[in-house]
Amino acid sequence: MGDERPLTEGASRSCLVLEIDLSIYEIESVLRACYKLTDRIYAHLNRDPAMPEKIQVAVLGRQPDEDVEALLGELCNELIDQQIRTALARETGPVREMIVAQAFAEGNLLDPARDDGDYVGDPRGAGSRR
Amino acid sequence: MWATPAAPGAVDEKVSPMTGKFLPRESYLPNRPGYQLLPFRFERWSGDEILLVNDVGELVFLAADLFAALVAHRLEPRETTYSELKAKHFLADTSPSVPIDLLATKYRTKKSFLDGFTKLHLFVVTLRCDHSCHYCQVSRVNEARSKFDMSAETAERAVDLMFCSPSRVLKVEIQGGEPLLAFERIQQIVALCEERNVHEGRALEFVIATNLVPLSDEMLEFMRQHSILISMSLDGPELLHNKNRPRKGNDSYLQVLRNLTRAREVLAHDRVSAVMTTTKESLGCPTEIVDEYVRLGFVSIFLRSISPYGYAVRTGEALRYETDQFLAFYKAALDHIIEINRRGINFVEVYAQILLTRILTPFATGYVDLQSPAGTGVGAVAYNYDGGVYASDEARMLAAMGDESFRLGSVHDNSYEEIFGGETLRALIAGSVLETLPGCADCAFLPFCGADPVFHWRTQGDIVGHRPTSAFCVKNMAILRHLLGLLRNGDSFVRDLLTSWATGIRSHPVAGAEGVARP
Repeated sequence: MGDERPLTEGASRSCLVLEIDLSIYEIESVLRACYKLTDRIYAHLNRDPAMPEKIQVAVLGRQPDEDVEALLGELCNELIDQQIRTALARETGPVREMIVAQAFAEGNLLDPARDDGDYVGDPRGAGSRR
Repeated sequence: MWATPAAPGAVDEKVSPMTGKFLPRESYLPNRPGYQLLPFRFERWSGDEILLVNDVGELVFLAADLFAALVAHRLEPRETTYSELKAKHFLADTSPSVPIDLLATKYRTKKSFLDGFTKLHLFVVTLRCDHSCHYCQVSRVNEARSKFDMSAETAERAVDLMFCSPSRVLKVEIQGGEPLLAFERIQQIVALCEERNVHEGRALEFVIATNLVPLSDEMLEFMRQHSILISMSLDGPELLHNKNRPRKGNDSYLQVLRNLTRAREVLAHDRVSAVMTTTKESLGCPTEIVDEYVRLGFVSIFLRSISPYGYAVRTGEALRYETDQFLAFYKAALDHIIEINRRGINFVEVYAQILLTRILTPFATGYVDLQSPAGTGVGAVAYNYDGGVYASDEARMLAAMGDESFRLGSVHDNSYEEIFGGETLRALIAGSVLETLPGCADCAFLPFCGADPVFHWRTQGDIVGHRPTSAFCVKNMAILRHLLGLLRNGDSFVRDLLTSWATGIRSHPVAGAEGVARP
């Protein structure tokens, strides 16, 4: 799945390096995916200035006997979920802010006129004679 | 992005202007292609299923293909799931102002624990105690050392400070050490509060958290006259209780039982509740502990893990078991409680009840240890014997270990505004809003959960904490998953029982409830 490399020169343990295409996964999603697995992995992110569209994640298991390849697979799946979350946050973020603002607002942020309305202005004619 | 809301006052197109009657069903399908997503979080559930939860706690389980269709805006309106998602406000295909308004109302209801600010006021009247429990979280001192008692002046100032709180409800919890060893101070605090309340008109409630051993007839009569509740400690059957709670004579259990009977006779059966703490020794006897509570006539139990503070840390008790072991204990005890209910005995696990109330109802719960923002200072405050004011009882325990990070001030030196408007409390609140915390912000369980900045400070060195390795997070995620699993996969009895814990409503009568058998 990833390339095997020594973590640093002369290190006894190797890490696996995953190359991620930033046109598919945003950096925010990459960071969140790595964070979620930090109970089991050490992750180092690196970007080669010559390849700004890619990011490399070097992954090392926290425990020496950890199956790093399985963890890398988990990281790949997590990347997908986190990218969906990033897209959802972009799409629904303004609405979420509006819900919270409306919840704690003194007046009606969605329809300020509604607070001042009365039955005479009812669009169904509740205020008119029959 | 979001479509423009319908103009205020626009006529509803779903009603025929000619007849005033409703149009055919097709007219209610979206009149423009597509739908808009409303905010929600998701979590892989099991196998091919995804759990979706919105900001107000509505939840839906979706098959992976339907989830993929939903987020890609390809879900067909004729799908049954579409209607459910729309009804629960995961998507909108009409004027967006309606779901926003409804969601805002529900959100405000979920956050109603913030109304009125601090409701729970803890008075630590002494650090003295006649027990020497290995797990004691309050760093108790020998019962002869009266310099660790609250003075009359400190009590008076603490009561003054409490009444500065704008809350209509004031719950006074008196604790220690063993508070009954400083009974005069309890009498003074109750008298001061009642006198003051003649003009204040607050809803005042008193609780004494006690081991029950020093209880005298005079104390009981005072509690009866002033409608004081008792919260006592009971760790399980005699052997376990005495091992967990040693005292001179090794007779804690017998003393507790004797005084429990007297207290129930004088105060009424339901005026005495009990709390337990899970030690390493408790882990092997979940059913025995539950059975002991049932045998003694309690209607509920709160299965609590050890907190990493005070004497529990000095003796190493807090480190003696892992969260996984507590979870196995918790699940075994909960399974046993369900079986007891199946036999016709109504018995509740309180922590599950709190979480289920959050999952199944639109209401907030007053439980201060699991709120967002955290209940520190906002929901509860602790007045120490020396006048120190702390953001929570745990913050006070931390101070007893030499860490004064969450000391808000002193009843002797600071005003209400300085204490509750100061930098310490502001930082605690800012650092405990789940929506802003790494790991929590994306978590589907967020609307059911809360933050514990003092716990994370103690265990991980900062108030935010590191979620993937947080024992608090591991414990709550696992219990929430377990409860949701029972609600989803349990038989109809289990689903009905858990729902009744949250709502108080039982759809089926309990089998054999007439002849209540005790184990």
